Amino acid sequence: MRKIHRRIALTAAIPVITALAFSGCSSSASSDGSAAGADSTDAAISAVTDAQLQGASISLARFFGDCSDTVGDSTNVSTTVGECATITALTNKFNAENKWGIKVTRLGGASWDSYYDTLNSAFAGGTPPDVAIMHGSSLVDYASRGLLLPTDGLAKITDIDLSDAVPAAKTAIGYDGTDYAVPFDVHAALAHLNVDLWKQAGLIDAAGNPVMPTTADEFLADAKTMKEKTGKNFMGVARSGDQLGVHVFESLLQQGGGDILNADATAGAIDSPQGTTALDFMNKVFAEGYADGNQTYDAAQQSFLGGDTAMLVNGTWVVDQYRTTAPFTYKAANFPTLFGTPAVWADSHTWTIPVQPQADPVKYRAALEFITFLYAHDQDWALGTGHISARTSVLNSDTYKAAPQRANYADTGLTIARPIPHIANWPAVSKALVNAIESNWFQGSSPSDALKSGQANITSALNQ
Amino acid sequence: MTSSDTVLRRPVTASPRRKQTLSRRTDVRDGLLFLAPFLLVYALFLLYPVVQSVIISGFKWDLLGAKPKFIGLDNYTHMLWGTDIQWSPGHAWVAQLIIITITLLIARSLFLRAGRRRAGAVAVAVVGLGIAFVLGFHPGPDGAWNDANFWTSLQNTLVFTLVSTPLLVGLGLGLALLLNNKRKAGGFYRAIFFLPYVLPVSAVTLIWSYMLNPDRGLIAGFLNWFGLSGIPFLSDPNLAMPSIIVTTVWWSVGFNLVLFLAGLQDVEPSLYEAASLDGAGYWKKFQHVTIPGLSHVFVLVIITQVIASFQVFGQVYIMTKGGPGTSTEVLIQHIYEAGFKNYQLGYASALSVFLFVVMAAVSAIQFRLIAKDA
Repeated sequence: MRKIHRRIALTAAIPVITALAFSGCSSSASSDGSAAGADSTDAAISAVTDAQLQGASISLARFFGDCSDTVGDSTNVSTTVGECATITALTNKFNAENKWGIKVTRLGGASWDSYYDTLNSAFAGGTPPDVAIMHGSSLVDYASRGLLLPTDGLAKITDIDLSDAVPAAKTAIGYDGTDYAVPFDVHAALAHLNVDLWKQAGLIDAAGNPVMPTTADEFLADAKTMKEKTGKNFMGVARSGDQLGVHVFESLLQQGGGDILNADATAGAIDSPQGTTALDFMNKVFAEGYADGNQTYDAAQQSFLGGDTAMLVNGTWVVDQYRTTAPFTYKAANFPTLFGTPAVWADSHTWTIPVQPQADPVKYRAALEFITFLYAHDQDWALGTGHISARTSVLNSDTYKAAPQRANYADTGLTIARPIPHIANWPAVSKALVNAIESNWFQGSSPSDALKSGQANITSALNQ
Repeated sequence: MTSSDTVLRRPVTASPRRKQTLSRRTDVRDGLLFLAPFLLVYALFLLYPVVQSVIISGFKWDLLGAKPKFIGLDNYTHMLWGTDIQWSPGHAWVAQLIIITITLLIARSLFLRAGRRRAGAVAVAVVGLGIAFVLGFHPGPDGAWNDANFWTSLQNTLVFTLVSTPLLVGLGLGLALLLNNKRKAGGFYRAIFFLPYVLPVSAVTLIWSYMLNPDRGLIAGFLNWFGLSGIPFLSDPNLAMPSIIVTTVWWSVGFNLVLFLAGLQDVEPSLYEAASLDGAGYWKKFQHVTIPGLSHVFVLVIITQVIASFQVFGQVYIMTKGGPGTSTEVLIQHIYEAGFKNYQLGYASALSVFLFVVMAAVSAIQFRLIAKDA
C-alpha cells in the first residue's frame, strides 16, 4: 500500500518539479533599457581608447543575400548596383580603411523573410550578433524587450547627427521616446512607368512626361484610355504571394484619411468608410481588367519589363534594375495620390547594436564605429540600391539629385512615406491585415465582411 | 567462482518454474541493454521535448525575453474558443452529415464482425458523433474565434491529409504492382520513381514552382503551343492546394512504392499458384491473396502516411506561404508563425500539443481498426 502511495506521490511530483525547474531556468534578457543602465554603458563605451579598439572583431547579422564571390574584396562603392553588392563593398571598405583595424565578420546572408528566425534563435540562445540590421517595423519587438542598446547617448560619442534623419527614418528607429538604432534608408512603394506606353495612350504633358492621375476617377479614365489605345494593362502589382497588393490598399486607405490602427494603436481601424472606398476602388481596377489580379511578384515584373503594363507598383529596390534593363523609356515616380492626402506604404532598414551578455564596451564601441561609418556612407547606399536616403542632407544634395531617377521620387522620402505602424507584435497584426484583404480578393468574402473580420483579428492580435 | 558458473550450475538444481523465471529475467535484462542506447536517445530527443512542450503550453512564454508566467489553460482557451460562441445543431451540416454517415458505416461494419470488435464500434461511434457535435460551435453574429487562423489551418491540414493519403497509398500500391516483375527495365523504373524522395523539400518545391509558373513554367509553355494562356496554379485558391498535393505525391510516393514492393515480394508464390489452380483470375488473386498478404504493409504505410500528412509544412511554406489568402495555411505553419514570428512560445506549444493529441488519437483509431487484422 505504502508502495502505491509512494508511486502516486512520485508521479504527481514529477510534473510539478519539472514545471518549477522550467519556470526557474528560463532565460530573461538582460535589460539595459533603464536610464541609469544606459548612461553607465554609454560612459564605458565612450571611455574605450583607440588602443583598446585595435584589432577588435565584431559580427554582423544582415539580410540582402551573399555575393562575396562576385564582389570579392572590392571597396569601390561608386560602381556597385544592388543591395547585396553595395553592402558587401561598404563592409569591405570599413574593414580596409578603419584606423583601428576593426574586422567585421558577416553572419548568414539570408533573405529578409527568413532572417528574423536566425536572429531570434541567436537572441534566444544568448549569442546575439554585435550589429544587426532590422526593419523599422520589427525594431519595437526587440527594443521593448530590452534587447537593443539605446542609441541616443551613443550617437553623441561618434557624432551621429540623427537630426538629419528624414521623418520616416526617425520614426523607424524610435520606441517609447528613445532611439534604438541608426537609420540606413527609407524604402517605399513607387510607380514604375513605361513612358512609351503612356505616350502611345496620349497620357503625357507637353514635355513628354507621363501625367499621373490625381483622383480615383482620373485613374479609371486613364486606365480605360490605356486599354483602348494600347490594349495594355494600366497597372501591375504583385497581389498573389506578395504583400505589395496589400501595401497599395494601405496607401490608399491612408490617402483617404483612414489608417490600419486607431489613434492610440489599441484596435484595428480598417473597417471604415476609407477602407471600403480603397478596397472597392482596387476591386474595380481588377474587375475592369485594368490590372491582372493573379500576378505574383515575378509575373508582375515580367509583364512590366515585357512591355505589357504601363505602371508597375513595386519598391524602391528595383529602380536601378529597371533603369538598366527595361527595353523602353523607363521612369520612376512617386506613388499617385488618388484620395487627397499624399501617402504611401514605407519601411526602413536600420542598424542596431544588440545587448550582449558579456557587455564588452570594446565590442560595443567597435559596433558603434561601424554603424557610424554606414550612416556616413548613406549616400553610397542610396545611390547603389535605389532606396531613399535616410538623411535630409543627402536627399537635398546635388549629387543625389543628379543621379539617375532619384530626383523623381525624393519627395517620397521627404514627405509622402507613411511608415508601417510602429508597434510591438506587428508581424501578427500585419498577417491579420493581409488575411483580411486577401479573403476578399481570393476567397469570396465581401469587402464589408473582410474589413469587419480583419479589424476584429487585428484587434485580437494587438491584445495577444 | 565466476557468475557464469553460477548461472550454469543453477539449472541443475532449480525447478523448471524457477528455471523459466531466471531465463525470462536474463532475457529482459539483455533486451533492456540492447534497447538502452535507442531508449536514451528517444527519451532525450523525443519524450523530453514532448513533456517540455506540454509544460510550456501552460505558460505565457516569450521566445525572446520576459520571464514565463503560468497561465494554466489560457493558451488552450485562446486556441479553441472566442467571443459570442454559440452552438447550433446543423451549423456545418454537410460536414456533420458526412462524418456521421462515415462513422455509422464503420461502427456498423465493426459491430457485425466478431464480438471483440464491439467495444471498438462504440468507441468509433462516440468519437465520430463527438466531432459532429463539436462542429456545431460557431461565433454568433457579433462574435469571432480568438484565433480564426487556427481553425482555417486545421481544416486545410485535414483536407490535405484526407486527399493526399489515399492518393499516396493507392498510387504507391499501383506502381508497386506494375513494377513487381523481373523485367529488365524494372530496376530503372524503380529508381526513377524513388529518386524524387531523396531530394530535399527545397529542391522539390523549386522544381514544381518552375513547372507551375504561369508565365515561364513547363505547363504554361505547353499550353502556349495551343494558344492558351498559363494557369496561375499557385495564385488561384482553388488550384493552390491541389498543386501542393500533386507536388507531395510526386515527391514521396516512391517511398510507399518501395514498401509495397518489399511486401509483394514477401507474399508466398504458392498461394498464387493455388489460387490459379482454383480458377481465380487476376482480380480475385489481388483481392484474396495480394491484399491480405500486404496487410502489415498497409498498416505501416497508412499510419506513417497520415502522421506525415498532418505534419505537412515545407512544401506549403515555400510554394504558397499559406496563400492565396489562407487557402493553404496548415497547422505546422501556424505553429511556426506563433512561435518564431509572433514570439509566443507558450501558445505555439499549446498548438503543438493539440496536433500531437489529434495525431495520436487518429493513429490509435487506425491501429485499432486495421492493425489487429494484420
